[in-house]
Amino acid sequence: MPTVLELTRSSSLVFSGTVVERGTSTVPAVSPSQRLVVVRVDRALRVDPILGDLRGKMITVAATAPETLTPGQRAVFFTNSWIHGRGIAVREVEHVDVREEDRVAAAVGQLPQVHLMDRLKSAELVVDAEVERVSPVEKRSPERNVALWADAELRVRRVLHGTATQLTRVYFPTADWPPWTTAPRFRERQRGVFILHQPDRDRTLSEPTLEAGSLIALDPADFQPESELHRVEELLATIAAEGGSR
Amino acid sequence: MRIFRIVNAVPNDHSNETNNDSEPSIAVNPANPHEMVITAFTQPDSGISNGPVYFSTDGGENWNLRFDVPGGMPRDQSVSFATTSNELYMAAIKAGGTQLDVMRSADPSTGATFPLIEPERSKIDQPWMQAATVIGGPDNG
Repeated sequence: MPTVLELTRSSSLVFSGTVVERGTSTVPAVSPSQRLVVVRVDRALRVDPILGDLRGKMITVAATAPETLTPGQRAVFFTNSWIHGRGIAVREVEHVDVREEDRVAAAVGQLPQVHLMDRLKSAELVVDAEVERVSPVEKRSPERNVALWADAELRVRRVLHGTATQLTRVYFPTADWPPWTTAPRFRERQRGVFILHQPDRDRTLSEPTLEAGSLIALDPADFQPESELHRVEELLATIAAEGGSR
Repeated sequence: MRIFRIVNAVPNDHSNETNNDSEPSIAVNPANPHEMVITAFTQPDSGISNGPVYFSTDGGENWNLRFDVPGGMPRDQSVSFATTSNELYMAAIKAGGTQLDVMRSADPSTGATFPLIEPERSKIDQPWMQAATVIGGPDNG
């Protein structure tokens, strides 16, 4: 059985709830069936903020083992969204005893740090720096939906991982269409920790347009404010103790 | 006089989303006009690895959002129903790239999945899906 953290990472909707009914559906588009279980949400543990407050709402769960769930039973459900319409239907990944609720909540709380750890492990360069100058980069591809790169010159105060010159350049997208919408946008005089990666030649059309050796920041976690410097240093020390970056 | 009703296809529980749901594609099942499908640059909820598709089974009165399209955050997509079989065909480019997936689903509402029916193709932009029944020849039907 996967760990609680693994279950949490692989589930988009995690909640504790009480089984209300078996074999029915709260979503008109989903026909009742034996594998469905209606669950009242008692505590939302991992929910996209778009969905708002789900407490007290009925969710239809396509259960992996519906026979193990009985009305009145409380459990923590690891699920992924299936249908959203007049009601919510989800597919169950797993459920655990409700006594695990606080442990699951702690695992959810760890997710940003786990993600930051992943970004640090895969980083080419991590620096404590300040943006000196931001300049647009000439569009290098005729394709639509390109990144519209800009480059930020960083005055490096301290190298935390990797090798850097005093002036390091990072490319970041300025396009406001997918998949670039969540990337960090840098401005002059911005200070903090920059977690920089090599472009992935196969992932998008825009990354191969950058020269070899370029560094980019695409993930929201690739910039951390100065207040997070100590935490980043601690995580890098942990990574080094575990055997280093990948 | 024709009367057009404007219907918000975004489900109520997603009303907080402020993404740019642009470049839509819509398909109506010719064998059952109550069945409709919409795709757009709608982002999956956080933590979801599959992309979304909107569907209606009551002629567009009510819409549902389903997270079952392989490939995550979608880019260009085009959808079309087969003439008589109720099957939905979808051409979708994976986020950021030019890799084209061509899929067919027996039930775009709740039941079936979206399996690939062709190997992925690369360097494709703005696909257009058209489903038709072949009349005559080796592919008849």
